Amino acid sequence: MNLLKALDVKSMSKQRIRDIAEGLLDGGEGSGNFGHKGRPGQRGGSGGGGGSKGHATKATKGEHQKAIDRLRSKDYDDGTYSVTSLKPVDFKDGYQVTFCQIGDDYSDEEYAEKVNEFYEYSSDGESYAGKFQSEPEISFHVSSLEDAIRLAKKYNQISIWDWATGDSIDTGGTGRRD
Amino acid sequence: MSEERFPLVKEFQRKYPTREEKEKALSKMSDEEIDALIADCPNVQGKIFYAKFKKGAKA
Repeated sequence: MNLLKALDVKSMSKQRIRDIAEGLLDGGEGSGNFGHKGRPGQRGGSGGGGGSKGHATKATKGEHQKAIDRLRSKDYDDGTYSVTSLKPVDFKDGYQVTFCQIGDDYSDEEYAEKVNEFYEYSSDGESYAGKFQSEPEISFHVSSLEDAIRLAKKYNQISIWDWATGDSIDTGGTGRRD
Repeated sequence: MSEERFPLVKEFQRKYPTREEKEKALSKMSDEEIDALIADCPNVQGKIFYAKFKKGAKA
């Protein structure tokens, strides 16, 4: 398949094209420089654990931070993006779940442990970043309502997002790290 | 008795239970009404969803 045609590059900004190209060619730069090195030559260097139902690469803290840094750019409109491709996504079903990130400073180990738990329950082993005006927020797509609510309650989350109905489901938390 | 959290969002969700119904309703709402929903919504995905229906939003 012609990659450039598949990506519809004519409709993308230069920044977006660069981001996607870097992601595809990654393994060095994208495998985590945020205080924590990934496996050289591989994406998703934190590895281990998880066992998500999907087979996408598992982004590390470094890759999450890199995606957040890029999504802060005004080249990216508000929306939900794949962390690995920085392409917008819109699910028809399942739930979006996250954990407290604002004002928190997790060690690499704490962060890896936390996201591995989310990957374990995620539908696709992928992570996402939701951008609305300010700081993009990392989240995960979970197929099961029961799993989504369990994760949200464990991590003191205010709500989860139901893609099918467009509902914000109150999970009773404060959104802060407890 | 404690007050209900996010009353505007919950009322909107009760009134329009499906995504299609919400989209139809949002497309008829003013930017001010949508801004009120955004302000009341604790969920980033929800804010993104509502904001797409503001008149100045990109398609």
